[in-house]
Amino acid sequence: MVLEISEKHREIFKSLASGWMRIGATCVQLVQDKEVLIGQPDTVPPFVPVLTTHIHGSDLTLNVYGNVDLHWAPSAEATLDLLAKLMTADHDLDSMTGALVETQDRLVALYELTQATRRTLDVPLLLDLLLQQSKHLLDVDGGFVVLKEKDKKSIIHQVSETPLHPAHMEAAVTLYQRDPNRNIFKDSETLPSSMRNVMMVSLPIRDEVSASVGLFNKTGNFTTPDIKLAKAIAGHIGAQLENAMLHKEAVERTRLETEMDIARQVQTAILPQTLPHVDGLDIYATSIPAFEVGGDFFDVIDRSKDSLVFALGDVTGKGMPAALLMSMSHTIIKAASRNMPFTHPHQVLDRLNHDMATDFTKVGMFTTVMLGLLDCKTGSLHISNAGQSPIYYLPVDKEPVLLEAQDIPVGILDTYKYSTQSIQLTPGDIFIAASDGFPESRNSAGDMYGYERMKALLASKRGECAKEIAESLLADVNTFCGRQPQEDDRTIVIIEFQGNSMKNLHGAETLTVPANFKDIRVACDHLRTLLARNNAAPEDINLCELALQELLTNLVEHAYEDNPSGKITVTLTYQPDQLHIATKDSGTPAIVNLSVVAMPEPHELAEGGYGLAIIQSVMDEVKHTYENGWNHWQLIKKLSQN
Amino acid sequence: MSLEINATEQIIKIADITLKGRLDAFEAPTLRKLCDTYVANEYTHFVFDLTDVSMLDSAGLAVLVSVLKRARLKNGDVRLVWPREEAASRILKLTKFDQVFVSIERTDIVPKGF
Repeated sequence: MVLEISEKHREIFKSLASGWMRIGATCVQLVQDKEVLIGQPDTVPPFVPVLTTHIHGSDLTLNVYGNVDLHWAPSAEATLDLLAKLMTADHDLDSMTGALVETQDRLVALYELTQATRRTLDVPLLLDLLLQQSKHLLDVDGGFVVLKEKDKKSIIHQVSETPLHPAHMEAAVTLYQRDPNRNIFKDSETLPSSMRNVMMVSLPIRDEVSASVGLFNKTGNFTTPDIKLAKAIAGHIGAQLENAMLHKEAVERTRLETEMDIARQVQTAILPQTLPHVDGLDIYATSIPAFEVGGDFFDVIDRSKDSLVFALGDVTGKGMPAALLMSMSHTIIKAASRNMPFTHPHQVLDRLNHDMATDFTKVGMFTTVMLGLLDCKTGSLHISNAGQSPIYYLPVDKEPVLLEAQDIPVGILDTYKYSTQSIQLTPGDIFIAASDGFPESRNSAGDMYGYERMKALLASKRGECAKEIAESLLADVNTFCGRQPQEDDRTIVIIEFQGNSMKNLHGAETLTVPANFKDIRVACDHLRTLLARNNAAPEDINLCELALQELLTNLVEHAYEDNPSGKITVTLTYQPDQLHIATKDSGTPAIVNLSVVAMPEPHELAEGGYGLAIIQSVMDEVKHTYENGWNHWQLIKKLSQN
Repeated sequence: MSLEINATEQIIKIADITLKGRLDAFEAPTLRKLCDTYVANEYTHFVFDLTDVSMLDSAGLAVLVSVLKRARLKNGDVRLVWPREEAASRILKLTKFDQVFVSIERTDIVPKGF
């Protein structure tokens, strides 16, 4: 510690020196470490002092020259001691005052920094502020921040008149990480050449981000208060940085979510909203998108009276690119199916692959797709399968078959030639195309729903209508997965081939109609045609049609309560002397006592309740049973002989 | 004593509705909606010309009954021009509404019978 000689000390020394001189001294000096702090007179005498007094524990010495009685020595010692104490105390006071002023300055600077950063969510700007302030407050050449997030490249930000090489900054960070309790490094052997000294502190951000601040080349040396100050600045900016980074992530997430929303809209918009009704077929298709939409698509296209095209595909990947590619693929399939005079579905896939391969390759995606072409009259089915799975064929009286894909997905090889395989459907056969979102669904234990489980479920639902099969499967997969969220789209197309007015050995004709007032007319027309073809009396035709119309109206209104997805199966058995009408529906069980049904009195002007009474009055026999979830109605009309 | 005359004017609104085709559960709501509009606009007398109705079921009949009920509440009435087709007239006989509805002949633009 170098003591400063103030004016006050000089005065005190002067009076002390005058005292010594009065008792014979010629010169008095206060010396510190061989340097003369103060002397009276200023000139150093050329001879040795007669009296030299040291202060114990300090480097202060009092030298007295001249002819002085040595018994004054203890007095000299005491005087010097007092003087030294005074000087030390004064020095301490001065440094404390200085420190207080400095602390005050720093607090003000920190406050200003807080104000400046409070509204900033810009990461580079915050880092800039941090480094500028640190540089200013700590009097260094420059500073840098190294942000390292797991599995990502480091982000380096520096503020310096003489920029450092990134490797040098990383080297300083490595030094610090090796010894995190140390903040100051000045060893020229370990530090990169560009740094004389460096102080490292960590920037407190989230756990997954490690961030260090380095401040380098301070004039003089870093002190403990410097560390504290740097930590305070880092602490403050760190909190603000975390906010800024979270904000940035939130903005990105919002952008992504918006993209997902648009992708979902694109996908939903292109999926068919209605399905065609084709005589002799029971068709159902649906797609349940996952939260982050996959690229499933399907379509069922009524090509002409007798041919139906259906498609189901899955574009790899998610988000906007998948949605757009799906949309383009779907459009090409639709256009080709409607306008192209193709006879085999592989012709459409060749075209799709040829047109789209480049686009798919560009984004590193591809699509699986199964395309079917069905002759609705004969049941001749051609399918072409580019990697789509699972496809099940459920023959009416045999075990279900999983049909493996014969060809590679579309969008991989533009010269690939697709193939067609053919199946002859017989009445009662069911064909099911689905996306892997069903069998590959997992429960919380990580088990897969699986292809076998799916096959077994489909087999057990074989007697039901297409919609019921699909709903049973969806419900079963949901039950299996429990609370595990749906990870992929689940899309299914089911086609039950009934044959056009399926005729069985007993001369019965069966058709299934959707439960709505419009479609039940199809059954009535059918009855009229059947009876007319057999030359039944017009009166009988009218009565039978009225009875069937009334019965079906009741089923639509009461069994299915206007549920438009319900189905009614009507079987008409004509014999020359009677017509047997049987219906089957899976709606609400009818609770009815047929023996007490009466026609309402017309004068009461009732607006309903005529249906059953009309049926009873025109038919010879009316029966209702309910078993295993099915309502069965049977009406018999004896026909007048022509 | 001079003659006292009290003259009031009465306007009777007649809706003359001609139907063609099948009047069944599918079409009944359309007809019902039309009639609701007439009733709301204070029409009290209705003519339904069923000449060319090919088929009538209980849902179609219910609309006619509903109009009749509301017409009578306002001292109005309903007249039917009988359907040509047996398939349409059958239900009127079965439900005995042929005894409730008064039938008229279609002779002119302004129907007779009221």
